Amino acid sequence: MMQQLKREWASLMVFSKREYIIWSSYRMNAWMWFLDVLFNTTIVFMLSLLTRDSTLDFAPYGNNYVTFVVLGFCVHYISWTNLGDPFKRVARIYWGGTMDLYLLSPLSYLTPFMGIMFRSVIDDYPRVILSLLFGGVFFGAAYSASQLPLGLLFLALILLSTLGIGMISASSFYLLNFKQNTEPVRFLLQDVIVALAAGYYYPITVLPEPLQILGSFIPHTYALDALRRLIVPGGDLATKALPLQHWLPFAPITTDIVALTAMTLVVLPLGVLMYVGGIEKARRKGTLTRWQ
Amino acid sequence: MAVEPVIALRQIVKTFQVRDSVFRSHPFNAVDNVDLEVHTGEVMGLLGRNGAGKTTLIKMMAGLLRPDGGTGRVLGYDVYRDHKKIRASVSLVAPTADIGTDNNLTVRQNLEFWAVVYDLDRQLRDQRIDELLTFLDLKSYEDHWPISISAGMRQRLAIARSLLVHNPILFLDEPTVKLDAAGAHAVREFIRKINREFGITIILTTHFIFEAERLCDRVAIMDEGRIISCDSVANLRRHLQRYDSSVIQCGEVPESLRREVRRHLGALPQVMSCSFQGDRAEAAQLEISADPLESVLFDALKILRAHGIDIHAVDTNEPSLEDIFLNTVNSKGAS
Repeated sequence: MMQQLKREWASLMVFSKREYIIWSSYRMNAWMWFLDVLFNTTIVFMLSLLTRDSTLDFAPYGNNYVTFVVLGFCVHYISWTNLGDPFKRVARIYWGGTMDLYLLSPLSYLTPFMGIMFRSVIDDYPRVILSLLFGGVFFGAAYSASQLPLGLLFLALILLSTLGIGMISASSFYLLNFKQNTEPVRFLLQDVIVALAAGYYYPITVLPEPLQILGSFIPHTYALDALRRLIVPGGDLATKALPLQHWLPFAPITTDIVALTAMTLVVLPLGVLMYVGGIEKARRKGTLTRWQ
Repeated sequence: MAVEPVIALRQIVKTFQVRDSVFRSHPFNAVDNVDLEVHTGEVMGLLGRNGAGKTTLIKMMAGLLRPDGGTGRVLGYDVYRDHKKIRASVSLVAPTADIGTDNNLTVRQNLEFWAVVYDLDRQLRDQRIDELLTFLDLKSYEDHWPISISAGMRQRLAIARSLLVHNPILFLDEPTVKLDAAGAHAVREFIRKINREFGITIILTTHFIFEAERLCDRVAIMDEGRIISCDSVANLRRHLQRYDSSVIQCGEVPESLRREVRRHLGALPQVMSCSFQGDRAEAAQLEISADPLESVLFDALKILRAHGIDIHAVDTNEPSLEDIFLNTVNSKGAS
């Protein structure tokens, strides 16, 4: 068992090294990447200028719009990688024809999947830190560090839950035989529900009630609610805002933990099962790669 | 050569659903009741037209595709239950060298990557990579990007990848298909070398009949998912022709001597017929048909020499593997 784990870990490391070499091979790419984060944060700052003197109510999420949206960006970058990218990465293995070769190795089904995800990880995760940094240094974002451990717990939970959904999305490549750019799980969640109801730029309390209820079914809602209450200066830990918080007899943060943990415990094992099931189905149907 | 079967398939079947329209599909037997045994250290060729079922059969033997029926063992592992163990114990070179080759990594970095993926012992990695780079004449290209080297070199790189671990079975699916003559020749030499030096059992699919003839101990001819003939090239040749014939170019043979020689040759039990051709006494041709030819030829030459006849050349009209392949496929294995 330990031997197997060491082997999988060593392989993950070599996948990471390979993806880093590829990513850093294109110097222009690194500059564009840096500027992209800077410009995105600048746009938030411009929006914050608009809202500075308005009567818009961000309660219970404090009083700093730049911090509010920068945190939205952080969750967005994590979601973009963990939820949006697995399908594209599996498609890359398929079209590149390497799935057969990975299977002809002692690795588990999941290691090549995690390994090729590393390109997105090195591309997107540092954006979280850069956004926080640019927001703080250039645009007046302020962060409350008193609840940092709890904030990191929410970050970990959103990371795992979106990865689970991402694996469900990736499994559709083999399980449902979607071989093109868009597949229904990612489209429905990322392009419809998350885009509408996650509340990256606004609190979901401003949305019509049906959309607020729709937002209750995605982990982003609870992660953002908790992170903003905990990190935006002036955040309120007691006032209930989300539909589930009104229905359950817990404090808002507790409700967020319960909801996010429950979602993670459902979607992560389901994602693993569906992905492995998809590979096994492809092994029966002969659709693992284009090599025929 | 040892006789241990490393691959033993019985009545293996694989059926795919071919879609006719959105609502209708029909079953297609890609592999249909195939029996096959491959022995340790053997080079087995799979010949067949496009769509004959060669790649599907290879995928099932490699554990990449689940059969729909029949039984099979590869390296002693069951093809249904132990597919993971089979996959971890075999190597594969797919038809295009670009599969498994990352153009953003150098030749050496590519091999280093796969060495870890294949769990090659850390102490062995550099040594094995150096050995393979030297063995395949890739050493001077180790710091090149694969995209900057020729297709032949990339194919060698693919073979090097598959040999990082010395798995007992190597599947080569059309290994020379995109190579020029020199590259193909080098890869063929290499296949012979790894079979000889490492004792690796090789299953080779190819459309080049002469390639199979040069490399394979046995060939299996596939058509419409079935193996319609499987034997050594010599035996397949024997099955195709009832008997073989040979033409011996001689010097001067007077008519009286011709009769004498015919009488001696006709007395050999394997000889079906023999006759002298050519009117010119100073340049005769002796045509002999026999079953089998090789058992007679030596005696025939001895008889000619004993009668003081000069021998200038010996030609046999053995059918090539291409003749055998076409004949077998056209007659669906009936010959």
